Amino acid sequence: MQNTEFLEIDLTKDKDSEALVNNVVSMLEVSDKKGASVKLKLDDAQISQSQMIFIKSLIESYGFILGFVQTTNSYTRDICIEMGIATNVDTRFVNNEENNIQNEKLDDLREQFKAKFNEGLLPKEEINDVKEENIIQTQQNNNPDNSIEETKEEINEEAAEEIKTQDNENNADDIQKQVISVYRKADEEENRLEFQDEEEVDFYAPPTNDPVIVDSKQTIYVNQTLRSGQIIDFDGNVVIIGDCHPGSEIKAAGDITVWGVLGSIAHAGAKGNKEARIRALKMNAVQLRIANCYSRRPDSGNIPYIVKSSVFTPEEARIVDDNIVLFKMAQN
Amino acid sequence: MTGSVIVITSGKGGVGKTTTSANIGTALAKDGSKVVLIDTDIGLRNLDLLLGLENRIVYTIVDVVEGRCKLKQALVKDKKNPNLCLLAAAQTRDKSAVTEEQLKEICDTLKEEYDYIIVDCPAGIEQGFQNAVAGANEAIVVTTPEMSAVRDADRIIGLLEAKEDVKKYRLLVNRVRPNLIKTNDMMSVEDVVGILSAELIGVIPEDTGIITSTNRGEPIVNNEKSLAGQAYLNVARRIKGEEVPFLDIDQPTTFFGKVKKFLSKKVKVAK
Repeated sequence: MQNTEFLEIDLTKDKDSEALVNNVVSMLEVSDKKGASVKLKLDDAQISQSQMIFIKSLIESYGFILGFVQTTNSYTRDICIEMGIATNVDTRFVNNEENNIQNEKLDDLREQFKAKFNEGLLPKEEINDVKEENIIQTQQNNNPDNSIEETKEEINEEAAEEIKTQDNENNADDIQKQVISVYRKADEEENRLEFQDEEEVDFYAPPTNDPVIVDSKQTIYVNQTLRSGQIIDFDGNVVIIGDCHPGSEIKAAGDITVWGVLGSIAHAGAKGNKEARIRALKMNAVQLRIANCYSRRPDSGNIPYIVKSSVFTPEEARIVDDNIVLFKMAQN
Repeated sequence: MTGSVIVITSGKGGVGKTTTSANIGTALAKDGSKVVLIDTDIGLRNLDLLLGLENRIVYTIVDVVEGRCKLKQALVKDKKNPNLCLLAAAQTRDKSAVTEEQLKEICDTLKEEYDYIIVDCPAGIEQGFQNAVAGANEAIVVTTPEMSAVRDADRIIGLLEAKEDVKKYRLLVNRVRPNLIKTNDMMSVEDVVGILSAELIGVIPEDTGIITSTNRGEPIVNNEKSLAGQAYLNVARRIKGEEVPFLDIDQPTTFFGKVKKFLSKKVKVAK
């Protein structure tokens, strides 16, 4: 973990979360410092916990580590502390008399942070004023020659080829032309959702819950809507950020997670893993298959179009006694 | 036993090939014949939606062709009628996944066990059309009373005549609107038949119920009140060789219209 290289991303100019994600993705794609720590500059932006988790996993999917978040927003800072991500300590915040208890915590953190800093694990600019250098670095990185689209296409081709070599048995020809957008496969070790370096995490603030340890297989991130006729076949876990329309198919040897409406056929544990699970923000699947079990949508709800709404009921499908059972993932 | 393989084709898209296939298949099965519907529109399948069988498809025609399953495994039984089966198309592939010989072989195998094999053809005259026609020995050309559809149907009939296996082709005029024909805004059925000089097998009136039935996944022949459903039932009887008079599609839908028509009939008799 002795990373001296830091990749800085300035997100202060991004107004909505979409632009933010695009910015992060474009920066990570352009950079060749693989494995480096990423430093996010957020200023006053308020980021919710789920968004932060998403950003963190996005960065990790590219093989980077989210090492540091620079923010002046107290809410965002709390989230970061809760998640065990290093943040800068703002003097304005420390002097705030209303939050005495938090101040004490922060003082501790600051000391810990300084100790850590002295060990050389964190960059020196963090505590001092970082703005100027940040701006210079991001300007350099935003090289107009490397437009986002071009790099995306390149990655698509690379990725398609990579998958092709992996899944020669499973209709590799199919996959090549089909979807699969921006994703990077991470090395097996780095691919866990648990924290990279446990010691470092304990050092700051331990997470309240035990981290979810996903199967140690590889994971792909598909950052787009899956439309009819598109197929994802992967020997690992699949995470889709977007909806899955009817007529598409997801086949994975591991778990399937859909951050959106699942309205297609999903086959988790396609190579016989009965522990595999399918999760979706909204479950409207035509068919669910896990390992060799199969279930279909009831005929009463068999409508030929995808039902989209702003109300989400996250559900998880898993095998109980050779039957596929749906469990609600959130209360109410 | 050798059943007949009937291809439903049109050339132009959106004239009602898939609707016709679903309804004729269901109507034939209702009469007690054993029917298989084959969707050859690989990559843009719809026939399963019209029958409400989308959630039951596990294997498709491509799986059969590539040997991943047996032909019998891929046949999806209809919800209501056990005489009706569907061989669905794959959504994740394209037309080149199946060849003419393979489709012919499938049709020949199915012929031995089923009375009617209805092949739903994709639009166009490319590979998909060639595949669909390969195994057929009869064809139904669907057209609407519009110049573009008639022109395309003419082209299709030309191609069908060149096929040795297709012994017979008949014309089905779809989406006819009698009130537009009356005001001379639409070609009449007679005009269409005259231009194409082909044998007529049925005239289907425009029916808003088709839209509802498509969305619900239930063929309109199951709705006995529907005029289009009646027309499709008649087409099925004609396929079986019965002589059925053509339906009077100029039926008024409103109560006032019914009274008006009833009165005008009386007057004609009085004269």
